[in-house]
Amino acid sequence: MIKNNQLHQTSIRKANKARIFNEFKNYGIAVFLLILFFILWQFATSSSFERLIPKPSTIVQTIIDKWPLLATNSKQTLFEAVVGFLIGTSTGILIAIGFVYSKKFAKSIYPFLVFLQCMPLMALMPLLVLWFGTGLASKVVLITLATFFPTVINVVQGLISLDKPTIEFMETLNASEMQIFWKARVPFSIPYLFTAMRVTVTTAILGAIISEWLWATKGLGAVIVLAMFNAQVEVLWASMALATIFSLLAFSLIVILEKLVIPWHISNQE
Amino acid sequence: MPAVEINNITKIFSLKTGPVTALSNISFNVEEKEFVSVIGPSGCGKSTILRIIAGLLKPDEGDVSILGVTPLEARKQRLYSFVFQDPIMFPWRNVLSNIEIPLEVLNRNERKQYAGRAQEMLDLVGLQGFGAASPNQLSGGMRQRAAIARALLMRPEVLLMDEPFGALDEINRDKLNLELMRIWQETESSVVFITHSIEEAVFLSDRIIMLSPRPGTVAAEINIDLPHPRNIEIKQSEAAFNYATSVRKMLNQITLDALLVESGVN
Amino acid sequence: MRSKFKFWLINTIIIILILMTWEFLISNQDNVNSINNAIDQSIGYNPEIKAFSPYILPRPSQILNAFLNERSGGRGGVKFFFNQGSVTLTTALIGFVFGNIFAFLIAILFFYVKPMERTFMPFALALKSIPLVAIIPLFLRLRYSVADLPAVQESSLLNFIFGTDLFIKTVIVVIAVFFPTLVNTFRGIQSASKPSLEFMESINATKWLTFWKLRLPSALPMIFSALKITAILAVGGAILSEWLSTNNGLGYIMAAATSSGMYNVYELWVSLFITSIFAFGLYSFVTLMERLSIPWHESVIALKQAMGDE
Repeated sequence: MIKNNQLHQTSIRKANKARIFNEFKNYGIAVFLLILFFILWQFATSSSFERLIPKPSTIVQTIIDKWPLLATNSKQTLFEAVVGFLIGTSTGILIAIGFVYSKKFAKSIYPFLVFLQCMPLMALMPLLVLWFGTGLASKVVLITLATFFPTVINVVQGLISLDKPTIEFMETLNASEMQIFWKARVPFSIPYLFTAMRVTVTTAILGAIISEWLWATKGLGAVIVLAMFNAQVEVLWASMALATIFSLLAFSLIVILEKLVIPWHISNQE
Repeated sequence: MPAVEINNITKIFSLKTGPVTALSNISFNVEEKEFVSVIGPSGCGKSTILRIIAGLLKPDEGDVSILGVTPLEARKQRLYSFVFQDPIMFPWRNVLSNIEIPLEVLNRNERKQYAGRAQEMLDLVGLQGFGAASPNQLSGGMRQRAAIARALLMRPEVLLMDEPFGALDEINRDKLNLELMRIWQETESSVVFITHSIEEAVFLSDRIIMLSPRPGTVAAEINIDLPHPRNIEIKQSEAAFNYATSVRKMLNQITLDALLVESGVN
Repeated sequence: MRSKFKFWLINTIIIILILMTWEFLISNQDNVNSINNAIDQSIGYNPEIKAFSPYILPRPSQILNAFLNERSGGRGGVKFFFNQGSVTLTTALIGFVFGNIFAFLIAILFFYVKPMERTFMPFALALKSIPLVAIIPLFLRLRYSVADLPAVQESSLLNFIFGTDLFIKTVIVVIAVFFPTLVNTFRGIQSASKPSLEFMESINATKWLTFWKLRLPSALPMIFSALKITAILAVGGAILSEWLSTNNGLGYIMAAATSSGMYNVYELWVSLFITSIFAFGLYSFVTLMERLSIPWHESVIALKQAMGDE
């Protein structure tokens, strides 16, 4: 019996090892390829080619050299992104709650949601510039619009994901509508909110940059457009690299937050 | 006073295809400390009855009382507990805290009466040491045990159980049947138990209510005179086997009759 | 059927009423002034431009006028918008079609060649829900720089590719469209249930047969959901690349309308309406195709029930 148990233990350990190895194989190859790609990019590009696409080392050097310029403008962009993201996510959550609890509200907001779904939202930017100027407001409105829709859809799904037996169970406990909402509906819908935020957080950052393309004088997007028109290839690539890094960091932040807030969810378990 | 009194209940569901009578003129009582099973072919409205008793559904005609009060009043006085087929565990809480969910609708004073009670119930259902575990780490049978512990938490007079072991395999179901008998003898509450397993109904019940399908009506009541306390010997006894055989025969007859009526032969 | 008709009728009436109110409210200067005063007093908002003005909200008749009648300088008028719109639509449609075809083929390749999947799928997953149109400046810069090279100016093929914005804009739309369809097609092909796969194996079906009869049909719902998303992305990608590129296309008109000195609010509104008609049209076309080709899928059934026509 004991021997059997030991056998069992070793086979579990083996299986674990195999699993870890497989996972490493899945991402390891990708990471390895990425590194290889950067090495090739660095050493296979001639200096004349740098007029078209700069080497990674040149990009890093430019980020360092132009840090004061890039930092102030990044700050502006990130500020727009964060404000828009927070407003979009919180209104999205509120609208979703209203949508689930009031049929009348759901009916009246539905055409607006359909419109948002069928409209390339970024294309609204010129109108927003006209209405709100080239400053902060127009950008925040655009990012709010862009983050709002995925949030509503996901949170509504989460709120109605509560199955009938669970509602009945809470009813038999004599729980009020409020108690059902806070104790069951909200926790069950948090994973759905995170699904939305994984998408909207990068949308917010890149949306801020795109919204700065139109006549903005501050922000990473403005730097990008000016560098493009003035053929400052290194500055252009350095700013794009920063944008990528910010998006990656923001995404990772949401993933880490998700692991902390909902450790019980399947996506966070082995 | 009977624990549960059901008088002439009729329930009609309005579906898109038209109204369907799910239950028609159902009456039966459950006495105090009695274990009653409701059995019948699928679609006979077993779960509907239980939901009407619990006040989750309203009957179109007739009325129900639990210890002399309406289902909603009984709910307020915490006279009954409901065990669902799905154990309903919140994955963000550990097992002990899942068992304590019913306490959260109480005020602080009321809550005091039940201090330490969740741990006791956990021990009673044989889950000692699993209080801090996540429900995801438990097997289906263990989760259902936890659900039963939760149902017993507030010392209900009446337990309403809706196919609680329906999703388990036969081996686990047998084990939990024996456990349920042991637990029930310690708590001595009245039980209304919905099942589609004949062996389960015979082993657990003092009385079986047999329903016929479409519309659900009470087709027969069978008293099960097996001795208490029920244990594995009784489960395997010839008497139990004979009861099961006769219940099976009756069920077959009912199903056949219903089929003949539906196809217009009668 | 009747309730559906009623639904559309009511909505149409509501839209007409809103447009009429809009028209008449703004056509009377007294009304405009009193509304502006009311807004100023209630929120203390006092910008240079008043809340209600042709600049912020032109009257429907003014917008219609800009659409129908040509102005001096060849701007405005049906022909002008037709030309500009077809530039945008061509970019969007070609990019949409090619991006989706590439994505579909690559998804199949990934599925049957495991090492390819292992290597590239993580990137595809990461890029799937990112607004990739953000790379437009990189691509446009690249095209400008390359176009200046003497070798490019000599070769007619390279000149076609890099000489104008047309090609690079389409490439941007292709990239914007590519990843959602790639991931969804891949997952769709993968989604065939194990029992049905085992069934196909048990009747000795070839890989091809399993693909055509089982994997592809079970992938269709996910492919269509990607097509719907990418329809919007394609139109958006075309518009955004026109913001920054040479002087034609609806995106250019919209961006130019906001630049100082060139305020042409009416052209902006007309372009916006045409853009939403493009996006909505392409989206509706995909939805129609979905209803025709997978009437068995629950998303279609749910839609039908919601519309009340079983």
